[in-house]
Amino acid sequence: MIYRPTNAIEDIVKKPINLSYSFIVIVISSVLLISGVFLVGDALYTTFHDYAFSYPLEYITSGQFFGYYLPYNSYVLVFLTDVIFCIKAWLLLSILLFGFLRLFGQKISIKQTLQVITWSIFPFAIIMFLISVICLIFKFVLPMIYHYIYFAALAGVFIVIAPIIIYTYLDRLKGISIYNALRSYYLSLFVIFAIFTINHAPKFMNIIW
Amino acid sequence: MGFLGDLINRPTVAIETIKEKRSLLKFIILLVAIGACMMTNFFLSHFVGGFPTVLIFILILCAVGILLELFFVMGFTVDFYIVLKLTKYKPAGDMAKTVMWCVLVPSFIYHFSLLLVNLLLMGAGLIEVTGYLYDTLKYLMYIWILGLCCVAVSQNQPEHKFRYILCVIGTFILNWIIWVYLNTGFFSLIFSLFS
Repeated sequence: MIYRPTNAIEDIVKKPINLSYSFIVIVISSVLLISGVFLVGDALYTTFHDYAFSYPLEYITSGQFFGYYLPYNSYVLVFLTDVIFCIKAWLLLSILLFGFLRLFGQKISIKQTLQVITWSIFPFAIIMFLISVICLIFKFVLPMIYHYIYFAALAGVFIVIAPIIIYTYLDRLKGISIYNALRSYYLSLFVIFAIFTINHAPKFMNIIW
Repeated sequence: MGFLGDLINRPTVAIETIKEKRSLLKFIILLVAIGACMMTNFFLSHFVGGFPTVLIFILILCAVGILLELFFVMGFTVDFYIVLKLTKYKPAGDMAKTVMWCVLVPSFIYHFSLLLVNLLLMGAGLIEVTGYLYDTLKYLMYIWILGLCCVAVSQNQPEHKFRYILCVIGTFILNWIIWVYLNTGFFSLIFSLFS
């Protein structure tokens, strides 16, 4: 999926949908991603934790809704909650992509969309783990900005690499055109971003404008 | 819905129409209109003030907007042309021009529509909402532009879709990042002159 995505997609499309395998991939990828964050620690750990926990949908689907507060030093609980956050992100992105694809008249099932998101984005957790190791080195060289490098790489996966693989996958699976695949995926990202801005607008907009 | 409907649902047809009807005069008119609308929106969304200060400031920002839009559109076109040349795309020049128009047309529709919405919201006394809309909705325009550009670029060489979509997305984002930093520098300069 990383070196020869087209060949990998050809192989996956031929096989029947198996959500148990997809779920295993999601769990392994999430553990890998969060392990990278924990490995670097400091600003990356606190920023990731803050952004993940203050996401409005995370707020209403976690213990925070009932007033439960998770401090930074409860490492095991934070790890588990962050892994579950990644799984929720998978479900949310799949549901949104499914919704937009159906809106644009594409006949695709939710199971297929879950499979597409699993194989198009989550294998890149290994790349993100390697980026974590690089950030660990940057931490001593560029202590003020090393965590931005990590988030830029994460954004690169979601904004640049994933849409191309998703398009290729959807094209092979259902013959969906580039335009419909790209706009559905980017609109899903936009909805996630719009929800994010509800309680982050001034802080976040000042960074990216 | 005609051309607008094609732009939303039938990008291939819309791109053909754009190729047929593009001209230098239309390019200049669109560029001026986008720049003026963009900075008027920016002003309406971020500042408050009374007449005649508002009018003078909007006019100055319109001039700045035209320059910034020129940097954005031409920057992307030139970058993209270089990338196409490096990847041996044919015809690189014609495709760079088409992609430039794929940026101009959605930009004009978005900025002009947002100006109308902003004026309505201003009239209703909801100035805080205009700021939020300005900062958030522009990503819809970027999605639209990216979609159109990807379709345009993959039409000529369908066997290398993967490579050229990556070129479009990569160049657009790189150009956008450079433009944001350019913008930030430009505004810092203007505000330091006025303060």
